[in-house]
Amino acid sequence: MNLRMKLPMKLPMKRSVVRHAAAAAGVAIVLCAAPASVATQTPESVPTPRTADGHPDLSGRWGGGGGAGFVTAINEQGELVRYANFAEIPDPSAVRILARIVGYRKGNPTFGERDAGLYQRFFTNVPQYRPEHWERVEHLDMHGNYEDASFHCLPQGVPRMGAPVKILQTADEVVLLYSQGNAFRIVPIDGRPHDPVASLDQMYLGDSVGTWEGDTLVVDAVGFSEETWLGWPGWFHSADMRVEERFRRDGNILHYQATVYDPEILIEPWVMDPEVLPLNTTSAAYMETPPCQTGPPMSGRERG
Amino acid sequence: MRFRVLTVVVAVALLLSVVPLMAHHAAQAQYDKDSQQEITGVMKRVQWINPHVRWILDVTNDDYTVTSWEISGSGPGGYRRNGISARGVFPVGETYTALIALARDGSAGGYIMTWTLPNGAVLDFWHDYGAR
Repeated sequence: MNLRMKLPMKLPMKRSVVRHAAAAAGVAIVLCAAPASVATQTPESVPTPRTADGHPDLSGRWGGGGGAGFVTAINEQGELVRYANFAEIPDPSAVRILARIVGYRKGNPTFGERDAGLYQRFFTNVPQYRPEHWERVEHLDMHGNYEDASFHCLPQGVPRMGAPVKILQTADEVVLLYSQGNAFRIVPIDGRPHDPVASLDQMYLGDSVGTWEGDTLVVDAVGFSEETWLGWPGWFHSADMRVEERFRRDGNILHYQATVYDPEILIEPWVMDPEVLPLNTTSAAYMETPPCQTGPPMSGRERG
Repeated sequence: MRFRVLTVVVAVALLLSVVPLMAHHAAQAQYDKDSQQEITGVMKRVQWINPHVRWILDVTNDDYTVTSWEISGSGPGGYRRNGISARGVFPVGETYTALIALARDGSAGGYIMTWTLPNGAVLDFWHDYGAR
C-alpha cells in the first residue's frame, strides 16, 4: 500500500512529544466537555477497570508511540510525501528521504541541540538546593554535557526515566516496564516493608514497595546510587533520596507523579511535573532499546 | 491548566526523550559542518547502537590502500521513527556514498550529512532547507 499523501508542515514528532501531546489533547477534551456535561465519551469517563480485590487495574500500555514511524521524503515537486515503509517507495532515486528529525529548527541538529538546552532552562520545574550545594549546582549547570552519567551510558534511573510504558498488575505485585534501557521494576503491593539489603544498595531503579491510598497506588523507592540525576543539567541527589511515585487511573487515563525527598540536599521535596498518559490501544510493536556504548575510539570525541 | 499541560508536554518531552538529550553531545563541537567531504566505499559494518549509530565504510584510496571511515549519526530511535532500519536500508557489502562533516580531530571519521544508497536513493541526515 502506498500511503502517499501531503503532510502539513508539522511533521512526526518525537515519541514522548506525541505521547504527551496526545495526553494534553485528551485533557483538553475533558476540560472542554466537562462544563457542558454532554454525553460525549472521554478517556476519563470510561469506567475504571478494577481487579477482583476492588483496586483500580493499572494494567495496560500507557502513552503514545511504539513501533517504527513512516518514511518521509521530498518529491521532485518539492512536496513532502510519506510512505508506510522503505520498501514501498516506488522510485527511491526520485525522492530525497528525510532521515533526521525534521522537527528541529531548520531541520538542523545544531539548532536542535541549542533549542533543547534553552527550553530546558526556561520551562522546567527546578529542584531547590540547600545553599551549601550551590557551588556544585553551578558547576553541573555549566558542565552538564561532561558530567551527565546517562551520557556515559549509565541508566537515567528513577525518577528521571519517568512513567513506564506498560504496567502489569496482579493481586500482590505491580510490574512496571520501560522502553528506555529495556528496564523493568517489580513492585510488591502485599504490604511488605523495604528489603533490608536492597534498600541500602546503590541502584538506579531503587528498591520499591507499593501501597494503595484509596484508588492511588503509592510506590515508595529507596536504595539509590547518587550517580543519577533528577533531570538535566545536573540536578543531583544523595544516596538517601526517597522517591514517592503516585499512579492513578481515571478511566483510560493514567496520572503519574513523582516526588523526591532528599532533605540533606533539597530545601523542600521536589515535585516532578506530572505525566498524563492515555491508554495506548495500538498494535504497534514494542521496540528494543539498543545498547549504549561509548568506549574508545568514540569517547575522546564524544563530549560536547 | 492548559498552560500547565503544555509546559508538561515540553518539559517532559525534553527530559525523557533520549534522542534530543543525546544530541547534547554537540555534533557541531566534534564535527565541522563547514568542512565536508564526499566518500564512496563498501559498507563494512553497521552498528545500530546508542547513543550514536555508526557506519564503517571501507574507502579505497588513490594508492590502493583502504581506509575504514567511522561515520557517526544520531541515536537509532530517531531513525526508527523515520522508518529506517539497520539491515533494511543499509545492507553491508554494497557500495555507498557518504557526504560527511569531517571530524575536527583529523581522524578518518565524520558526521553523516547524506547517504546515497546503492539504489540511488538519497537520505538526508542533516538538512538545512526549510526556514522553520
